[in-house]
Amino acid sequence: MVPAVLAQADQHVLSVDKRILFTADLPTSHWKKLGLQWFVGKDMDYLTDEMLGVWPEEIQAYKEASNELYELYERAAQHIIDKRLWHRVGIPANAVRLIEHTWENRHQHVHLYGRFDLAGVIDGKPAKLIEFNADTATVMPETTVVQQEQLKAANMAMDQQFNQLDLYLSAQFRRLAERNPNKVPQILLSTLGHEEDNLNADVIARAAVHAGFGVRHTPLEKVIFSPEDGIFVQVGRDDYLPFDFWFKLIPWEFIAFEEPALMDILIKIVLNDLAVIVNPAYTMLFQSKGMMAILWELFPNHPLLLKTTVSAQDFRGEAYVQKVIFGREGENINILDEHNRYMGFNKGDFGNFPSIFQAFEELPSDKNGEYYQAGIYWSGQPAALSFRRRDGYIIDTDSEFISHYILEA
Amino acid sequence: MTPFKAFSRNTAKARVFIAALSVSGTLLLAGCSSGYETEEKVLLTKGLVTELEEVSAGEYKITNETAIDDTSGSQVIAHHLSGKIDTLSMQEVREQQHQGGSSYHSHGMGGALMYGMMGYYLGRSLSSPVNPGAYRNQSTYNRVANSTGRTITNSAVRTTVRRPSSGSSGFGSGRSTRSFGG
Repeated sequence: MVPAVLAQADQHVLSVDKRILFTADLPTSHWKKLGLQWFVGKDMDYLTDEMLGVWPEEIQAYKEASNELYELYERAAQHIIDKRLWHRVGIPANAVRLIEHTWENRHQHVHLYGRFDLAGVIDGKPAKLIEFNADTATVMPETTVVQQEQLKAANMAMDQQFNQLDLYLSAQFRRLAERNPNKVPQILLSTLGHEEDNLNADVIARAAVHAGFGVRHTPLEKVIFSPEDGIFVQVGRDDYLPFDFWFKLIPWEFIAFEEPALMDILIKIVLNDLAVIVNPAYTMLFQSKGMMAILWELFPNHPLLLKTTVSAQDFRGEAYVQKVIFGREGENINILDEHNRYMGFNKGDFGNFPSIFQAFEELPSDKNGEYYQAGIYWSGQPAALSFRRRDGYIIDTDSEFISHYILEA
Repeated sequence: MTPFKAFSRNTAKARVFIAALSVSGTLLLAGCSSGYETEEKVLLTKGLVTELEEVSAGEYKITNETAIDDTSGSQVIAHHLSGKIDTLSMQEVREQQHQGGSSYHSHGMGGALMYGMMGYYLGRSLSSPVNPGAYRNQSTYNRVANSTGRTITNSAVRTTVRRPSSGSSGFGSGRSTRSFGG
């Protein structure tokens, strides 16, 4: 199934174009049957009939990068907490106590999963961190299901893809249960209601079920939060189900800034050990792009990091990217070249947050001018790889999802 | 997950009265302030697919019951004598159960469903056993009871249902227009 040209190719400088394998175009009905019609709905040009080849050594490089980056994040988090550098990472006062508590008790408050977005590797350049989606990373149905379906359609074996997210998420859930032995393994899953987020929560639910958890989906607005008694869902006229575990595909900074009353209740719930929330509050710290400036200070010129500061003045004569510390989906980003000319920009919903400035790193690209960004999921360990591509420098909601397969020498 | 009342054991020391919960706002405590009412319930954590066959006019028997991971995927598939096949979601089954009449009781499906494993999803207590008479024959009953029955009962979780003494809801409403992932 691997294109013949690859058989004798020089592994190390294989262009993106030569890595692309065309697969059978799976019909819309196929995705519908899997409950993924949202991804192929009207105006959606998101899934493709192409897969990107990745060498086993490159998979290894992605895994090592994510492990090492996770360690750097842990060390930087400890530094921020010790030195109380909250203002530098944009953490509001009402979130500090909960971040400190969950961090000190992180054995109990397991970080379920996150995703590192990386440049480099498949273009022969070193892996570089673009950002870490530590709190509410998505693209999970595509990574776990779409990739596997495309691999099957190409008649490849399951081990020709690095795709263990379901398995390792489950392992993290087992860990969560073991480390909270007095809690009932039933988890409530909530989103703000967007279909894409619901589909991502389904992936989490599947993993929780495999780990022996009972699951229930209830949108945030229907969940009852009691500072004295914990987290509940009303199931009958007088019946309230308590939940000892809550998974929220709702960013911590949303809760802290937009629903401060909820934040206050959650602090009481977690500090009184009435419930465990995943991802834990300290992932808000990891999620802040302000962390990347701290990382650069602590580990200057680290090979996995791009120069990142809080001032455009630090990039005279260099191309740079300006991002807000709590932006998402490629919004509120400006890219300027070494002469301060715009190379790209996206408006968005998050313009009120402070910015960081990161050295511009060109993503691997193909002949059609598509730029490829690797997403490596981390769930207690490196867990899965997938790609998104865009005919521009900013990987946003107009990008395409690209499955991968492992090349054979 | 389908919550249902298996048995009701009121262990409350102090009764608490809770005012009606509005969609958005605060749950107010109208009674005394200490303790809350608790009640034990059994939650089914697996879903169930039940297949029925119309063995003679108006009489239905269960031919298969399978446990599934997703409780919201529970359904009933009825094979009628006419050759027609109906697939009903739990919502539809419950509606027919409540409305009675036409396509439920007159089709005789109600009894078979209630006394098979599906009965547990329709409000029957988990402590009351399945009736072999609801199944097409003894071997169908044995097979379902030994596999699906065990899966359903072993995965059922006994949990304490309680009323929070106070609480708030309605957070984040009206914010479903965009994804909050990344």
